[in-house]
Amino acid sequence: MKVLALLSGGIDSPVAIHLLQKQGCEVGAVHFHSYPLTDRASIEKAKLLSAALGVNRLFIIPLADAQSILSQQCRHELYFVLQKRMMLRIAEQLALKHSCDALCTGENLGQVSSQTLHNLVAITQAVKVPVLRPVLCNDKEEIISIAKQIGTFELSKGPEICDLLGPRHPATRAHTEKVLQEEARVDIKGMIEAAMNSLETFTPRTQNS
Amino acid sequence: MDFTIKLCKDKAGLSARPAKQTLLNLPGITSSFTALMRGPLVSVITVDGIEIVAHRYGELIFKGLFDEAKARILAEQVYAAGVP
Repeated sequence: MKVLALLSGGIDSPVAIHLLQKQGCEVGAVHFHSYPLTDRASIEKAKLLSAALGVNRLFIIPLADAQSILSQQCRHELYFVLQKRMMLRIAEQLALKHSCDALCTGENLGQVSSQTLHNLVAITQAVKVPVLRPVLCNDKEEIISIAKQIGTFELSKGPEICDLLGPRHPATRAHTEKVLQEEARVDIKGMIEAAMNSLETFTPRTQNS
Repeated sequence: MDFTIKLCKDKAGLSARPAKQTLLNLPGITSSFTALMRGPLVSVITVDGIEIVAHRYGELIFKGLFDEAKARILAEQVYAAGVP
């Protein structure tokens, strides 16, 4: 099975990728970055992580313009849900183009207030392709332990400036109907198109090559 | 203008915060320096080779800068352009 994984610079998504690889999946990755709202550290981390994991290809997509629009024009409490739906839609386009059967994320319940079951349902409804979440119910210590075993923990843990556009109190029970109303305020299709037009492809050199 | 400099919450650079609640004039800031991104809530500029994220609520984040004295000088310049 071919899977396209959303790879951040964090600890969880590399572990999610590793768990799917262990099941025999061929995994490619897509990294969304927020430069210039943030620094470039996450891009470098994603490159290093994709090489360490042996993913076959890494797509790098800028999202800062879309994030800025979402934070200005939509209900702020829904920012994280709207942003993630945008990422999944872009990833879905890439997955279809590259004959992937599913998407994968490192989302995990209980870590941040925006990653709740209600929100994940609203997020998942943005796309038609299946979304796999291998670490959804693991606790953080389990994830860190696997990350250390596979050598991604040290790569993930370095400092990076994070996007500060998010709300102090994000929605924890997003309703799809309200999410759709907010999305109607902005040009989702145009934002996806702009992001896709700025896509860069990175072919990782694996540690063995 | 009074402000404090400390390590930003992600520890990837320094940040400046005004001592009193302040709304920055972001268009004033982006027109005074090289702008990488313009927006009503947040803008990104370059000053002396340092990228600075300026938030309307007053916080400045100096990417990759850990020299407090330099951050203070840059913050004074940016606040001079952005505080009415």
